Amino acid sequence: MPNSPLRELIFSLPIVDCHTHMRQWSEIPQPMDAYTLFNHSGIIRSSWASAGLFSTADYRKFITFMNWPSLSAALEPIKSMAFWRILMSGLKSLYDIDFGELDEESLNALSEKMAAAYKDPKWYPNVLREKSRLEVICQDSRAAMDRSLFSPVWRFDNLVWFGKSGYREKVMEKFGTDRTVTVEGLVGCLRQEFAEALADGAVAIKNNNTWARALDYQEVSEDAAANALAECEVTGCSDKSVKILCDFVMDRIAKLCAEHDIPLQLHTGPAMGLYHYIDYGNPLHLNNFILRNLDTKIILFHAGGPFTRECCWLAQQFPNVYLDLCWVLGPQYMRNALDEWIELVPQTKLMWGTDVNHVEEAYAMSQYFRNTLCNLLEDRVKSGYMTWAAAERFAKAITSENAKSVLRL
Amino acid sequence: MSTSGGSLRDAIFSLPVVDTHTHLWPYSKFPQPMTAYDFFEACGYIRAWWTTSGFFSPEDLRQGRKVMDWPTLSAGLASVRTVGFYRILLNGLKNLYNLDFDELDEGSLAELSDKLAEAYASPDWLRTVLKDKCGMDLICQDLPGEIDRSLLTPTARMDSYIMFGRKGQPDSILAKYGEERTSSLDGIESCLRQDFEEAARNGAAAIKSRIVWARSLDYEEVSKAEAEKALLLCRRNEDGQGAEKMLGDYMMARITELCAEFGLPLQIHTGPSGGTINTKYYGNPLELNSLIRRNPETKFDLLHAGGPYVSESCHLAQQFPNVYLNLCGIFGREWLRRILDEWIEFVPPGRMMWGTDVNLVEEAYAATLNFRQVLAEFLEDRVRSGYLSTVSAEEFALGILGENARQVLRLHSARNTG
Repeated sequence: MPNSPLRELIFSLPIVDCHTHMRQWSEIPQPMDAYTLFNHSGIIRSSWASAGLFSTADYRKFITFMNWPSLSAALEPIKSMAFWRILMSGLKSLYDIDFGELDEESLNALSEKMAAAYKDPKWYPNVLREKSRLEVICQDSRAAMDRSLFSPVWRFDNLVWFGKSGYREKVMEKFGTDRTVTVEGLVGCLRQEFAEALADGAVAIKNNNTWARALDYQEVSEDAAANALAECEVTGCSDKSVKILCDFVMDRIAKLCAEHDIPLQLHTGPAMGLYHYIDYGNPLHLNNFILRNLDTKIILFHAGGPFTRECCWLAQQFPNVYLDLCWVLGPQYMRNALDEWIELVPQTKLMWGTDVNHVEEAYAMSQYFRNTLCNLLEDRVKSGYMTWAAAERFAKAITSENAKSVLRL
Repeated sequence: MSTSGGSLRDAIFSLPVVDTHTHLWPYSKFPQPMTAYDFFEACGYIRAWWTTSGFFSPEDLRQGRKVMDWPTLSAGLASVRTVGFYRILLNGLKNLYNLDFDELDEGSLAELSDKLAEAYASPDWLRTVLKDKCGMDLICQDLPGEIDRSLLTPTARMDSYIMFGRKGQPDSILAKYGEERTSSLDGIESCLRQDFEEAARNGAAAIKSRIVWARSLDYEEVSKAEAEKALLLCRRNEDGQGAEKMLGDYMMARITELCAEFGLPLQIHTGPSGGTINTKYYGNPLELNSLIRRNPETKFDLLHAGGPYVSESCHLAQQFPNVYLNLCGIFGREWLRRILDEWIEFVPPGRMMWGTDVNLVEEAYAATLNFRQVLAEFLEDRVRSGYLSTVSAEEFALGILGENARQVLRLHSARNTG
């Protein structure tokens, strides 16, 4: 099929990757091979866990499959899942290798190609910049990173979970015990963290709370927060106090985001991994929080998982809510979300990201995103829903322009 | 399976299937001669849709109103003519009985009656349709009473334990075990264990729960002391503090644990209950999140794809390796296709199953034909788009049609006796 001008345009557009967890060049072993790629891919590992490959007791352990018989058996149950299909397609294209399903021979050929490519330190940036055409990459970390490629996104988990043991100690270690016994002191710590984030060039603040609680952040008065702090100080934090302090800090973070015009990226949908509460990630839990923070740019990640429609209506209802398709795996799933969103949400509010660990995965995800976007827009033009010009505008907006504007890149 | 020398479609239409959930009527229940009117009277889905369309009142449905003349039946069928199940059923009837008509009219109805009468004159007809026409290898029957073991594998229900505290509930446990054994929580638990032992001995493939008819699926964690107190309150008919639910939650936890102990999967009806005027939210599978989390060793088989909560079911299966998704009772073509399109991208393929959930072999035939057609179209499209290779499409088909069910359900004993 000949390429349409729209397809050519979309495959040439630079992209802003709004969210990722890329292993840095210095963290990648030499020689790099396909076993390392698959075993260190968070999405493949979570697919393996989902398929029941790890027992209940040891699914958190880093069990690896480093020979063909064990890897082959591990890949079998996830072969029809979207990420595997996307990754295979990307690997074939990136390394110019041709096979049907991965077998021992093609795996070895792939490993050889990878080892050869990784000998050149330019391979890593080349895949991100030239092959994937990722113009800006937002890395969810404050650890060291290659600043010529990545922009940091900061989290304040220690302050968010101040009521919980482990986090509390880390805050005290950094800020001292005196500053953390009053609400004013705690907010001061938060302000300092913000100042550090801004000085570090953070492009957004990120939160992942759905791993441990629902997104229903209640309004908490300073008095209630002070009482919770006092309880923590005297008798230790009860679950109720942990939640009160978490609610309070999240509200302050949202207000500081507004003050510094830095967006707040929120994980919505189920937490990654196993045995979580799906409903924790329902973005409708955020309704009141958003209402209380209308000046904060709130970016909902991952299309809400099963709650795609809920995300859509929040973005329609609130001018300060943006939708990010990062991690949204699955051509049909993404297509369904986009088909709904294009009709109900202003195009200026849509973004995308990879949410992966390796450059190969980033390449595969960007190819898949461009392809899905092309199919959607071509169909929409063919059906008479929009013109070619409108489709081009939409493509430019979702691939990079919106992210540049919202994240102030 | 291999499609060498044949197409993916040919392979899908030749594979044996496992029907993981159905309610087939025994041959003895059908009148002789069987007519098309008797057929529609026995067809639970048509009667439910007649109620939805307003052709039947809820009272008509409950009282088993008969429709035995063409003008009335014609009006009833007109009210459901575009509903997915009716289109699928009509297609199946035409195909099975070699009938040629567009919409059913008085003439074609008479012809259908003749064919039904002739077919049902033979006691082998049910077996012929299920085994030869549908290609069913194993069938899990969710209906109390004696069943033909050469055709069907039973499932067992334990819902009466969950509803034990409900006032006015017909008390089958009390009738079976007597007052003394059921007056204490330990006694009730021993009755439950005995029922599990009997179910296992009887070759049950699974334990089935259809509690959404009566309550929601939010089973909270309840201690034994709390359950004992709740039992006391229920026995005194004092349910001011939600004792009935508390006792039900406790018993469900025990049922779930016993499922793991006996290696029996727990089939749970999700989505709205059958019939009309029920509480839709009761069937939301996300309500099961906590129960599933507390029981990682129990296999949960979520029947009916969660009804409107298809995406919720999908994410539960992604999050929990012990959750399986079951497409039984999903009759729409596009609806089924959309579910498969969502699930294939997120759920390991070994976790999906299928079943008919019907009363009549003609419905089973129609549902099987529809499923094979939708599955073939779906997988062909996925291969064409480059998403799947032909080999992976074949493996997916093999799994969802039968292999997954053989792995998950307790079917080995049935195969030996079959």
